[in-house]
Amino acid sequence: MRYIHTLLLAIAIAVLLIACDSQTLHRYQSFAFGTLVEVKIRANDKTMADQASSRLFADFDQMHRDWHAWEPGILTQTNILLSEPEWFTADSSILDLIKAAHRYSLLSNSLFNPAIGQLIRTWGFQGTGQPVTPPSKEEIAMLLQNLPTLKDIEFDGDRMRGSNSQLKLDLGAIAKGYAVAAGIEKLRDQGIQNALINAGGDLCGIGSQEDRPWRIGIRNPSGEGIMASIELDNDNSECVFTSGDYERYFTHDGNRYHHIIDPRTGYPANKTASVTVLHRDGTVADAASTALFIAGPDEWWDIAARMGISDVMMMDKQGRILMTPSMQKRVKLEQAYAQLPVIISAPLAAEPWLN
Amino acid sequence: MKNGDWLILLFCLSLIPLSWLMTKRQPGTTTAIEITISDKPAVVYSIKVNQQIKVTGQLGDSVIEILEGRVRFSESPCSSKVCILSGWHQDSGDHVVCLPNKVGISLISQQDRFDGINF
Repeated sequence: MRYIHTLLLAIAIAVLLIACDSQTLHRYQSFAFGTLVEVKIRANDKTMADQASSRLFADFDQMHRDWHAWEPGILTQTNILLSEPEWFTADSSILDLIKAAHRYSLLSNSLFNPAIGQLIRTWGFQGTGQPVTPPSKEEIAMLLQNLPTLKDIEFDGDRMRGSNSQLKLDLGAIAKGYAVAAGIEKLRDQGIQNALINAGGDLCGIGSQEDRPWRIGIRNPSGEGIMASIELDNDNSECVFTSGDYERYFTHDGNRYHHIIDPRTGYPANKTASVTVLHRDGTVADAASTALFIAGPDEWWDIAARMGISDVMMMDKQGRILMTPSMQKRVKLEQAYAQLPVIISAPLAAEPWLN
Repeated sequence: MKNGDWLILLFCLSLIPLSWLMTKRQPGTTTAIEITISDKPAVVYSIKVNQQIKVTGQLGDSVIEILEGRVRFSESPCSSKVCILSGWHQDSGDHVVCLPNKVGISLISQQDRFDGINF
């Protein structure tokens, strides 16, 4: 009988030791920001994880409605007010996001230009429908004549005013990054130490997946399958964002038109297939991936330096991979892609030129 | 404690590293897909069985095709057809979504090789 007691005690100790070692991975999904958002939380307390994810999805849902570029909401109302020259008090739920967009737009030499909502709309990339034909050359030329940028917005504390009646903000190239980064901070504030938010292929993580960092596969921009992988920093939060020409496009007369519009030409940027940016802040990672995609293989390093981005991987239209030295240390190419030509840039400045 | 107690204790303690090693599974290939419609609970299908699955979302019927360990949207009532254009998917941790119809597919495995797919 005494042996049985000892046996039970030993088994209990063993079970406890194993249980202490591994937290459970909880997985949640919901539709938000025009995509399926997945949240993975590794924690012992399932109730805490359930509650944190519910709050997160409620926040995302609210942000999605507030910041929608064409469905009536706070952003569309803000656009109406910005089309007039008078000062107005901005809604607090959007002011910080617009200020972030302003900052990164200036740093990117307006290659990331969220003021061109009208141009994006003319291309047919606002709305759920599929564009059928590109706009006429005349339409594009007219829109480029007085093309708005975020320099056309003045700030005074929580007040703003616009100075270009053509300005229509479309924050689609920064809002998701801002929201996911804010979501990670909110999870951390609620005591979550290990989490990964995946908003339709754009991801931010904190902590780790059990005994290893969060491991992210990067999809091949020109086909199916995984091109490379990155392990996120498990000591800090880190985000990986990609802009690609394969996500949304249409074909007309044998030409393919994708949704990332170069504000300098009014047409889809045509030198890049995809850009992946790794950064601690999802907001800048999101904006920079668009700016660098538009900058293309000849200018990207300059814009990356201006925006304070040091980890970049680009695939250009020739199928070449261009990387910064620090990104090269982080990225592991899949075997099938290890033979592709890889160009490593000179080291980039770590700090932005403007503050 | 007698000798027998020590033997049992030693045996049980030796199970700890063994159990720990058994819980550390190797990353596997995709074994199943989860189909989510709106915010209803996901339904799981094996990816080893070639089949076409018709699901009804907010706009109408989407057809999801599983063929030789890969999955894609083959028909969709949405106007943009972004879901169909994204082609075949096979890596665990990946997702493909038809947003207008509120239908999402997640590729899962016993232990995902990747925790998320960036695109």
